[in-house]
Amino acid sequence: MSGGTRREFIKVSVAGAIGLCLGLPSRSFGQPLASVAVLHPLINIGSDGKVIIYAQNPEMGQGVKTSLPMIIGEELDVDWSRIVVMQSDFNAEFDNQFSGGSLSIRLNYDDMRRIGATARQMLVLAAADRLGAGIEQLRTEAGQVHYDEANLSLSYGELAEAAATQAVPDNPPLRDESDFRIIGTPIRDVDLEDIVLGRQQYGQDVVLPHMLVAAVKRCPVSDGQPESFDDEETRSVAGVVDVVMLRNDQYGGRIILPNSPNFVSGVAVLAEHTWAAMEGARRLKVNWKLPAQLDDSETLMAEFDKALEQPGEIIRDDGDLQEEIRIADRSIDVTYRLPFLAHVPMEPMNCTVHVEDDQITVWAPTQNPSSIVDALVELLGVAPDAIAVKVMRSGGAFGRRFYADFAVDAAILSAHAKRPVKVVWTREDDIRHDYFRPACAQNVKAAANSDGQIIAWHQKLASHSRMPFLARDGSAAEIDNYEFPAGFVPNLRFEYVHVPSRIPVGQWRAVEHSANVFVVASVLDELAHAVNVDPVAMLLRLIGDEQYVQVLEDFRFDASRLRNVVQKAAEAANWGQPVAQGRGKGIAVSYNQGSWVAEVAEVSVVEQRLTVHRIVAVLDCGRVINPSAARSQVEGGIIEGISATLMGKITVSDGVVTQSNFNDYPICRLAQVAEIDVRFVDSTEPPRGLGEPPLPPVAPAICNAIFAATGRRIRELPLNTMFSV
Amino acid sequence: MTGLPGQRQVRSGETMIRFSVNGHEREFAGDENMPLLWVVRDIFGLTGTKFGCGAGLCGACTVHIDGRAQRSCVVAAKAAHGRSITTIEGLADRSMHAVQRAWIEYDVPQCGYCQAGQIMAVVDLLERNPQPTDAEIDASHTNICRCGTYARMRKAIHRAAEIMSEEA
Repeated sequence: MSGGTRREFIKVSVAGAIGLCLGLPSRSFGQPLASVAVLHPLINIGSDGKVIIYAQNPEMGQGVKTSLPMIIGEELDVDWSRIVVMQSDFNAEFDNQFSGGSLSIRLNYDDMRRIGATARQMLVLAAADRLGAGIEQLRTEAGQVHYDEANLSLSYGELAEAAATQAVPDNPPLRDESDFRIIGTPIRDVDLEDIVLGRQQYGQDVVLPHMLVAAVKRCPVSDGQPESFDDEETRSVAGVVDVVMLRNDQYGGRIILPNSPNFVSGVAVLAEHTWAAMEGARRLKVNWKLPAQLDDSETLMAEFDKALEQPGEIIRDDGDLQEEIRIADRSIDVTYRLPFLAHVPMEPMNCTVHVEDDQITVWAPTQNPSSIVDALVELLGVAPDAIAVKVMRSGGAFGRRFYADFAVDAAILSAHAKRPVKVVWTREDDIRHDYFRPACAQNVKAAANSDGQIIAWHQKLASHSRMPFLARDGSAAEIDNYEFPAGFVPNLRFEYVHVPSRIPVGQWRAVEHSANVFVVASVLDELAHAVNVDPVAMLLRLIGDEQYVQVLEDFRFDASRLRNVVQKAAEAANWGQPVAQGRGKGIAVSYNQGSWVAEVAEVSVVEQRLTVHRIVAVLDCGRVINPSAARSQVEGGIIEGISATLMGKITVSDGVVTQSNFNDYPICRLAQVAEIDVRFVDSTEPPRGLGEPPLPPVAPAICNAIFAATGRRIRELPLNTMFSV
Repeated sequence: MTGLPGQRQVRSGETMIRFSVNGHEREFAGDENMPLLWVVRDIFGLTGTKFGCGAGLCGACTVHIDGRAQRSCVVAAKAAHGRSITTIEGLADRSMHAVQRAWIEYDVPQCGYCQAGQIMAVVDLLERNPQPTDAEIDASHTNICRCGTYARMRKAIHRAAEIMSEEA
């Protein structure tokens, strides 16, 4: 068992963790309150048999509030219908309590199994005591411990109190994976009923006694500061209570800690209710001190082009590029350009904080509660255990809620007002003060022979990287040395030129893969057409027939799983079958967050009108925990990819983000989504990442399909600048 | 209804705005230009109706006004005077609406934030057009879902239409 989970069990059982748990609806008139045994911070069992499993990781629509408890429930051996799931608050004892990097299941699968199995074993030990049996004479089944020889059984409810005081067993038996009854079955979201009835609470919905709502008029240029303000009109709005300047230079500057950006400075309007706060902020007149140099995204793109002519940091260098390009049958030299992209989660940013003398409570739709604790400790000098973070279900996040910026100003305002404060952002605030997916320009010089063998690949990226912007250690490069096709093309170089800028950037879903896979998959398609080889045949030739390819000394890549998804996707898409006039198909593959993905898009272009008819996606992500949620994740990632490809672009002019709402940063609607066919490779391998992998291949699959349909090669996005969508 | 945030004594020359919400008579004496969205959420405490854009572009704030779907973030309180409002909380009576049941059957939501608005818009669509084609759904259903639940949503709309015709 990992050190973390055992530590959690011991802490709980040594403390004699039996107690009344207030708030549980387990009482009827005239009956004693059920007592609840806490076997583990994530498992409570009531004397009435009620099982509460807590979801460790924040839920943002990726389904982990359902799937992580499924894993515990499986090993605990309880019927899913008997389990009540609740969201866990932040707990500093947990090892991996964050949602990001497609890691929630990948990092926690083994631990959740052991937690469930350990609790089950403690129940068995308690039963052994009570029944006078040996452990080997007992078995569990759906919440009961059975002593078959004596025809006796005890329920988990009857055993819970005694189980909680058992010594924590070291190596509890795990259920045989071929015997899974919950894992691998489609389970509906635990909050589904609440959501459709309008009862589900989000951060936006928090209401507390004496709470004030705050809207912050932030500097339109992200690193400007307010100098003075005129609040006469603001204070005439009924309900406005106070107006407070918020300067991040008084609270640590733009970056709090590595990968933890601070709030953007501005002036806050505190009011009795949301409309008054927003109206008040609208009427505020602020004099800003702006930096001398103001960023412009078009200028930055031109700087990227110039940077591509400069030598960069060599990320990987195999073989002899120059020679191979020189002697190849065909070589290409192409440059791709990609824009900044915004997160725009459906629920605009918000946070509620109550700062009291000895306690700070935060209600945050967050992907990363520990970042909020760290930020408040750093900036307000409070002790970590004085901070409680209530993790709210997020109305979408996509990477935006990984930071603490949106919590920090709420805490400052609450301390100032001596009341709970909920900071709410408008949609305009959200778009204008995002941490964008970095823009980039990428040049690829590549060469292939007429038999379809790719023999040289020189990929050079110029971008304004999130790594130095967020004060993160290590290389600035927005490409890793193991990204496909590294290891597959014998003469290959990855090179990176960093161009600094102050346009805020951060992690967007799939991070650098959202840009790099577009370039790689498009260039592979360009090469295929350059030597007149079918793109699927070229991919299969590139991937080769060996099972493993040694991509790095310590990274042996399973190429057979990539080959498999390519073949299955091509088959499912009827690749090679004749298509109607004006239609075309394109394929793209990716290995990211540990999973292998192949996607085929079928599009048509009729008089400049582009229609995406069908996307086929085949994924190998190892064992699928919840097929319903997993399918949703793939559909969602694909639709997010379609939306960004068709219409996503953020521009900055004179330091100010141009876009403001869904009229000028559109998101695709139901009409733009036709058929999505998702297939998982049946696998019993340990689970890999799934949240991000489906997204990157969509853009190149669509653009490769456009080429097949029209002969027009797309090297810049979004598509709505070239087609009507 | 004084004492609630945003509520104050009606001053002489002002109107008390009156309407019914989910079958209950309510009144509002505050800024008559406050969008109905915020009256519903902050004054009446019905937080099922969501804020997504404030500009009538996303549909997360969809309610029914006199039986028709409207985006409440761009409807001023004074425009609701004398009308009958239904929010997501008032949709189900003794049992869930067919659309809600179809949504559950297909496990439609991901984050769920847009779904109240989606459901309210779809209820209105199906009341006006009980058997819509895909093209008709495309043309009239423009609510945004950022998580991308559209594939399931389409199936659930057809299923809800089926349930409604079975129960008609």
